[in-house]
Amino acid sequence: MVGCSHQQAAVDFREQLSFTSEQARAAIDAFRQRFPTAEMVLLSTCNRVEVYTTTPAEHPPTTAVNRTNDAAPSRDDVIHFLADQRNLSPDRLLEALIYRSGTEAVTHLFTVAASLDSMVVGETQILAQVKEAYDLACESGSVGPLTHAAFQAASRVARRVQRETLIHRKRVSVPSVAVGEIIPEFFDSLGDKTIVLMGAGEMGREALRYLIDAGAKDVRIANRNVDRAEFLASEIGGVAIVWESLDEALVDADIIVGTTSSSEPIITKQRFARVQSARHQRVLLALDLAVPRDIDPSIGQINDVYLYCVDDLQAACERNRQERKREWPKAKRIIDEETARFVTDLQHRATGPVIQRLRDHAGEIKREEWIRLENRLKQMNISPEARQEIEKSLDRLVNKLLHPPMASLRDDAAAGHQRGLLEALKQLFSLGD
Amino acid sequence: MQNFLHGISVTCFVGSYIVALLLELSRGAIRIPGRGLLTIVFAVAGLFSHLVYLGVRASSHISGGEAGLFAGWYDWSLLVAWALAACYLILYLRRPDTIVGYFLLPTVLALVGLALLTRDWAPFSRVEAVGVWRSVHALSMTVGAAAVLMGFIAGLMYLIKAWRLKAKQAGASTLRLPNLERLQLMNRQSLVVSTIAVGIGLFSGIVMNLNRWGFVAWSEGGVILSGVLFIWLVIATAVEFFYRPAREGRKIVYLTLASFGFLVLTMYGVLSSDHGRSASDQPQSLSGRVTTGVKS
Repeated sequence: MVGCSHQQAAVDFREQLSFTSEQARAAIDAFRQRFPTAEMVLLSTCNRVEVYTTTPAEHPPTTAVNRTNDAAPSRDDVIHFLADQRNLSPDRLLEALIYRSGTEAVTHLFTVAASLDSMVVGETQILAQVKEAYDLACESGSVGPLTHAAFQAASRVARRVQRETLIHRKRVSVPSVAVGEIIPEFFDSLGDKTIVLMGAGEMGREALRYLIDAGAKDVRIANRNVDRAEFLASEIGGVAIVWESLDEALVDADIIVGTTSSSEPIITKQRFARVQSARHQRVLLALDLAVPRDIDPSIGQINDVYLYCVDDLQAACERNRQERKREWPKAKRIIDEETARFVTDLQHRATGPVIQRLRDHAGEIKREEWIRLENRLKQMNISPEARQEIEKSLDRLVNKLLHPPMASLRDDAAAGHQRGLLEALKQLFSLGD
Repeated sequence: MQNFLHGISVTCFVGSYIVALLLELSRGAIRIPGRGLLTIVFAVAGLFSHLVYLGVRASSHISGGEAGLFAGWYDWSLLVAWALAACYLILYLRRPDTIVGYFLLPTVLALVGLALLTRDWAPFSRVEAVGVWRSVHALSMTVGAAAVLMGFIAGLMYLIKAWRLKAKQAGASTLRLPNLERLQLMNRQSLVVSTIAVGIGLFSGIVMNLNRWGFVAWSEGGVILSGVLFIWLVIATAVEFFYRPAREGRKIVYLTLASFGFLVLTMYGVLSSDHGRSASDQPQSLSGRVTTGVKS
């Protein structure tokens, strides 16, 4: 795996490196042309860009000097490929990108899919994004046995972490707590509610995404720069309204969400008093996610107006964060356990062909020897029963000779090929690659 | 005036309902200025003439005879038809843009048709009618009282929930209550259900007493306070229906809490009088009156 995430790279760098769905498809095609035997999955989200590649054992990575068309991509190859795709300097990528291989790469993939490496730990969107990346690679034909196995296992592991821990059930961002935990205390559903979102910045975007995901249909986005509000509405959902019509929107609102960067409160008590009579004293939930505040705190004293500011929500976030922390070791144990299982399965699968070749090799030697011996035995008028007994004896001899190395090979595979017996066997018995 | 009222026949209210239905059906076809108002006028006219017709019919029964008051298929069909027509008018007033009339008015006319079909069937006797209306009275008053209680409980929960939410205790995972919207809906529903049930209970109580004794003991505490409860519930529901602020937030809660106060008063009136006790449990004088009333 070669890539970077919010852990290593700032957002401006991640933006330069990220791929849209179409760009990802084109990149996979280009990668396949360059490395026809390599498998590849490209995961690109707003918080990470990661390239997962695997190569068949018969095409190991090579240096640029002796490269052939069948050679597998090395770390530098992938970095150069990414640099070409995004028009960036390879040196810059070399510094910024991380590299994981073997078991570490599998653990990393499982950790990412289970959302333990996410900016908001436990958010569920990443699993869908991992699946989308895998599906795109499947459509493009860039997946092979190892990436199939790894990505399918990643989905299974993520689901297991979701099922067996509470890490996904506790929201930790202010907008997610506001939408997921505060709003349900007031309303049954958002489908028939009017929501006024003030501000179209990062916080507004996140809040809008949660609101739309929660089923909101009538979201009115008010921003001083209406173009930004329109862009946000076209990107995620809702309707942009001009800033001057905010008062009219407040009359209809069941929920108002403040996310602007205004230095003064936008909804003052006097302003709210003007619209209050037209609201017919309907319940109003005011979620002030902005710092400095968008909504005058004194509005919260009005009957049937419920005001929650960032500080009120931070307490719930912190409580959830602590609960997630308590769940972290449990989730990590699952990842480690599943990684070990995956690698063991993989290694067992890798020893299979070698064992088969060893058996074939020994069988071939036995057959040749038996043909030669059988002719001699016939000339010596040895009875068929005795010949049969001798052949069985040869079979037993071969099996007894092969049993210890094969048992050792299996043990070594289970231990991660630490003693290198697989390679040793290949060398000792000239089994080739 | 009396002659005029006695002159009201089934044709009058059926005609009004048919015109209201035709006005409804013409919505998609012809543009009629003031259609909404005309529809309301004809629906009200139908309901009024229907009610007068039932009232005149009841007054003629009270005067005597073995046949029970509102004790046959003819009367029951007309009563249900009136109730449905009233539902139609209320729903139309609330949402004139909907086509509930397409469904309710034909049903009303079908019920009037059923009444006409069963017109010649002999009604049940007064004794049998007392049994039927007593059951209706008891059941509907029980449902009404339960609905008022439910509204009171939902109201209390609403106030506790609102207090907790004001104190920024949203999202706490322990001792959760339903959300504000759900509690508000429970309040509204219990208010409407209790008004309808107590209304039916009061009406059925009057019919039962008229069948039983030929008169209603209006001065009895239980009857007076049941009437007061009903009037309060009608006012509360009307306020809730037609005055928008009362539909929102705490107002509806205050209405249901007040309803509970009236219910307590009514229960006091009922339990402290002979109202609702079985004949064997009643004082001798009243038991005698019952027997006499039924025989007369």
